[in-house]
Amino acid sequence: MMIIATIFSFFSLVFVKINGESAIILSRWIDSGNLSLDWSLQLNILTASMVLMVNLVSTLIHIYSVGYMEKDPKKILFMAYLSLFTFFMLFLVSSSNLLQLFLGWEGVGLTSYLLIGFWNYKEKANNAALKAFIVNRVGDAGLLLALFTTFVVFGTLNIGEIKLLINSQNESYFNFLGFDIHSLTLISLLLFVGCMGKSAQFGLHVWLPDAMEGPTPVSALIHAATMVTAGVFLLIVMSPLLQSSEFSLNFILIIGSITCIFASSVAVFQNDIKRIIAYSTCSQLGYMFMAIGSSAYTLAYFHLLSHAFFKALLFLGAGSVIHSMSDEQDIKKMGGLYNKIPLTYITMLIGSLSLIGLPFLSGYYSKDLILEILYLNDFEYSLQFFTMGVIGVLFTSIYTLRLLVYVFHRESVADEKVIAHIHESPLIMILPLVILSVFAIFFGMFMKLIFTEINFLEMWSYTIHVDKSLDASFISQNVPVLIKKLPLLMILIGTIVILFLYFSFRNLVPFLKLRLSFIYNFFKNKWYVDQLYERIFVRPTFYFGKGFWKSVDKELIDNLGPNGFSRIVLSFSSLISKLQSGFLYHYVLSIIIGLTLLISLYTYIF
Amino acid sequence: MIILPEIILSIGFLLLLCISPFIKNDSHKFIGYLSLLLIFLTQFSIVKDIFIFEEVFEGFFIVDSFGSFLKLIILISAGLVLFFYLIVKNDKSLDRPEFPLVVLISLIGMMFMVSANNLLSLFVSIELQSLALYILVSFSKEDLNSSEAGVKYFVVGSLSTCIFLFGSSLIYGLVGSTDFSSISKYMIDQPDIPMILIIGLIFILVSISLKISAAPFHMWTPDVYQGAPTIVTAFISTAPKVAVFGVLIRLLVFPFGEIIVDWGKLVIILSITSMIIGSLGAIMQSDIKRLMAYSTINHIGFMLMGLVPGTEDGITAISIYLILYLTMNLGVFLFILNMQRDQINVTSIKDLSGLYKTEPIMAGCLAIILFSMAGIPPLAGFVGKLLILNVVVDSNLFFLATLAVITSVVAAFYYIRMVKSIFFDEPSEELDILTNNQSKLLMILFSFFNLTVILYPQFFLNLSASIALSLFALK
Repeated sequence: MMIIATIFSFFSLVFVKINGESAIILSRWIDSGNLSLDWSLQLNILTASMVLMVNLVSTLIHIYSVGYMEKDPKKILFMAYLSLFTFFMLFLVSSSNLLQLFLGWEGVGLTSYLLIGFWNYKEKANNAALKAFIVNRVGDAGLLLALFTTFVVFGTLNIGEIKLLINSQNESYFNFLGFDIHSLTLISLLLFVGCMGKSAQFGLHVWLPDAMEGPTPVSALIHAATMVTAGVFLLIVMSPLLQSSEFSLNFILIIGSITCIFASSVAVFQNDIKRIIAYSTCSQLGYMFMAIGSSAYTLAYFHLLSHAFFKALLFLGAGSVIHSMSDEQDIKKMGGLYNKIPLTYITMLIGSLSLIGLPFLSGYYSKDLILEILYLNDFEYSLQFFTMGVIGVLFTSIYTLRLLVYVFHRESVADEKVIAHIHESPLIMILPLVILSVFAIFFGMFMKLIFTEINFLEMWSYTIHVDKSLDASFISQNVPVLIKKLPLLMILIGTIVILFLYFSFRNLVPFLKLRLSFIYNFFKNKWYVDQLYERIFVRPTFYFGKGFWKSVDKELIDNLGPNGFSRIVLSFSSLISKLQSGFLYHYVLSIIIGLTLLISLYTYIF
Repeated sequence: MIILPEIILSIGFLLLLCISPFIKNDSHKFIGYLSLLLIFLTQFSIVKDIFIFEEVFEGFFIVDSFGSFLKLIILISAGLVLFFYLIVKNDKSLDRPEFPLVVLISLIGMMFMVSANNLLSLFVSIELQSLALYILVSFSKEDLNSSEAGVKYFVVGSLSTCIFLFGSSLIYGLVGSTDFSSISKYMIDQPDIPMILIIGLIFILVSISLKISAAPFHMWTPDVYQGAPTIVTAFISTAPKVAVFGVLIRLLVFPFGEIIVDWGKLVIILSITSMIIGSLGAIMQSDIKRLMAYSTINHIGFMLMGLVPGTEDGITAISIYLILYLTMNLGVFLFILNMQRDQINVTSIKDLSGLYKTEPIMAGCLAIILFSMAGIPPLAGFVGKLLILNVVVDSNLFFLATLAVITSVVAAFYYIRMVKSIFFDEPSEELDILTNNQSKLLMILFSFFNLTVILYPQFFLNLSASIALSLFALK
């Protein structure tokens, strides 16, 4: 099924190439006052290519899951969830109005919850699923507010109509509690809050690493390639709107760069193979938001696509490693696997190198272009942002190589039993890895032109905002060679550090850990963000929840509401039963009383 | 002939009365089937002339499609009750040819009632109907409860008669005529309606409330429902209720339509008290028949609510509610008639427990009908309640609508408690297996009707709207 869908989505991309933009209206959805919405499929170069990517990755992961989940008793349910997720994701991507998009958005959130908690006998998995859902609710609230504001300001939720109306609303202000807020800024900030939740940006990122409790194919599909990029996608779709608010662009840039640095630095100190990759995803999303913040939407999208391929590859590779290590996820307990599972090793290597941004792999093109754009930006602090991005590259290369060294190269420290059991994954799992690594190698090289060449930029500009001056020739002319080579330099430094630490001066690592334990713990504990949230939000909520449940709900509402009502009903009904004495003269009396009552009521009151 | 249906019924009744002594074996069955045939013939003659509109006997009676429609409903429900009588195993004392004949007399009374166009003719036909009902209630002579119920019904009924006559005499004293159109004309001509006229109307209203058992004039209902033989309870909770309600509608809409401001409030009071007492009173009951009495009070309160705005929509809604109420009530009573343990009829709610295990199909049908009574969508009861509430809300009586919904919730409790005991309670002693295939089939039909009304509400809406229109044509 998925294969067929992929083929169809390829055709639809070709169709878009030929026919240009169009929207297919499926049926009327809502008709209420000013609000009228259709179920519809938007077809343009952006959605069609995104659909192709989603379908392609999803297909490969479906295939992979057949092998990965082979021994799981609930594998049919798992496949159903995966397909449901894909449906919602396509729904989100191909929507032509914000509400339908929101529906897809919630749908992927739901399926993500279901899939993270798929192994629901593990308490950690349940907690992670809950955490993901709750943190996402915060973001969703932002998105929902954005939707409301959009409707108030524009009077429509149709994306195409909003784009047409942007210029007319440029000067409108939204009055909230007496403050006049520039409405477009408000909308774009609220949209970004939604995206922060879904795309795990700093502040709302806490769910993503924990979500790694889910099965690995889930992490690959949802938490690397598709769902987490939905936020980026939404901002790209709404790019003309963002463009009209400089403040929010700057805000996005700041948050993106903080995320980038934060996540990559934390990743260096993690030991769980999937968590490392999760933080890596977080930081790569930071890059995408940085690109958006500097108005380079095509580049953000370029990085989104290439990231989807190599990150899915990395996750699936990690899954393959975990599979062969009998479900061991701690990289400290692995080692020396490169000759035992060579195919996995090679594909992981390709994915990692692509992630680092080694020249001529896809990550190189997309990431370096973003950095160059940052450098070229005419913001006041563009150099600082550029530096942050470059430091991010340094951290990236360190954690990636650390992972490779720990998993594949060091001498093994695993149990005898586990080692005896190490085996290459079955073909059905390797095949998606191979296909994805082909993409991870060549995607950037071939697709670079589409996102930068002036002629192609023309094509994009129908759908999203494009700054046409930033084409390939302009970039190549204006970026100094040193700047261009700086990321590469950082990679080299990172490589040297790793080689230095883990091969030549083995003893230095524990020594450093001891000496710099403060810094080590700071990173190891993810900048203490989780603990902070625990203190500020989670515990008070539990405390209040308990208090409210006991005092307000049980004592007050239950007693006055259901229980009290039923007590009243019971006492009244026993009264009525008592009145029913069975004596005829009582009945006659009641009739006479009723008659007199009615007459006197009428005479004296009405 | 305009009053052909009444003539057919009366002459047929007399003929049956004459031949009944000459039949030796199973005479009640023979007479019963002939009565059914007679009822069928009468229905046929009504359907033939359903759109006729004419006054007869110098305005004593009126034949219009509102009346004809009510007559049809009355005849159908009475026919069904008679059919129950024939297919169900009854108490020995009921197996006498007089039973169907008395039913026929009261039917004649009801038919004249709904077409009465004069306070006098109305009084006479109500009496004809009521006297027959008193006899029916005390039909099991050996049963003490039945006699007690008969006495209670008779005394309360006589009181109702007195009150009616007193009210009529007040009105006659003012208007100088008992004719409905004269009363209506008097109202239109008179700039200020004298208070005494409205007091007269209140007397009539109270008398009719007694008949339809609207609270606070309901006290006799639980005792009579419980004491009377079940088949009689089935009868008095259906056909006479429709007839008296039809009279109430005709009275309030046509001759007293001008003073809707005055009687509207009174009807609101009646409806509120009926709904409250009907829902609260039933909770403590352990006997199904007694419970059904309170259920009737509750439903009557609901229907009265539709009368308050005095509009065509209201009458339409009430007519539909009446039909749906009949199907639900008849379904439940058919089941009660078949509830037996060791060949003896039982009527306690406890006896229902665990019915699901012995009679899954009947349990399902009964559950559907009970859910329908509770007004749970998409069943028939919900449709009726929805239509009435719609009318009430349309006339901005939000307080009344809220109260109706709350009492419906309370009422839903006791219906659903029965369903609960059917499906989830452990059976104490099992009921006899139902061997009566006709009853089974009818139960399935009733529940099927309740399930599927939602699919073709337009049919009932159109039908009722057209008859409501004919009622307003007089104005």
